[in-house]
Amino acid sequence: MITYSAMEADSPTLVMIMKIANAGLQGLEKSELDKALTDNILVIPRIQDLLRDKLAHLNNGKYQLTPKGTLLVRIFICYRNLLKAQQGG
Amino acid sequence: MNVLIQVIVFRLLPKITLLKSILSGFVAGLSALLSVHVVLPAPSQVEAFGLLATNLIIYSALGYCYFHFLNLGETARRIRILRELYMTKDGLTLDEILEKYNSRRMVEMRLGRLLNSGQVILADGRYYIKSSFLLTAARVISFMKLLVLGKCIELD
Repeated sequence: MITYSAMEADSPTLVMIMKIANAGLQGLEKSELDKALTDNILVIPRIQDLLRDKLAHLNNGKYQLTPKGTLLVRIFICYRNLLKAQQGG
Repeated sequence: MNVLIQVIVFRLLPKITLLKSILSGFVAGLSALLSVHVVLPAPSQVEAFGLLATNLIIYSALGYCYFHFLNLGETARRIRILRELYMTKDGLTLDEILEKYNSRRMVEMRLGRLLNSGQVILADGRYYIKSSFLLTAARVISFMKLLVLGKCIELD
């Protein structure tokens, strides 16, 4: 199941790695990655996923967490606090 | 043991990457598992082999789940967006979300992580592959996606 979610939504890191690899000896500039990986590809579909999975809802133009979303995110916040890790993403 | 060592190593060694801390936890837990098998021998060799094989499979599966749990907190876009929403009282508009978390920032953070972990190098403003580890993972995921979903990783 975990591996399936990695397959379903392309990981930006893996896409970046493959793009850099495809560039070969010429290498790749950050601007070329920025051009290919836009908000429409990376962020907006994931917001739609949150709505679809009822982790967030849209109220008067604002995205808000549902109780299910709050519970889920608290687990990750607690664990990252335990690790003293920075905000991920 | 695995989780305990991973947390301690990550907290005490600020320069260590998350992946290395996970690996160190995994190795520590594996050592503990093997030690238990040595200290508490099974009645027969056949039983000992069966128990060891079963425990190794279960331990590896749990280790794989723990890796993904930590990886979700580290890299998952959905978790990051949920965090941004959690930090506000009234929620965020789409523009506000994109102000805090957008594709340019995401690419920047990920390039930083790839550089820190030695997967890519930066020379004269251009990025090059240095290690084949993640590239192999990307190819495996791409192949599995093709096999299961009939689609490749979308590069364009």
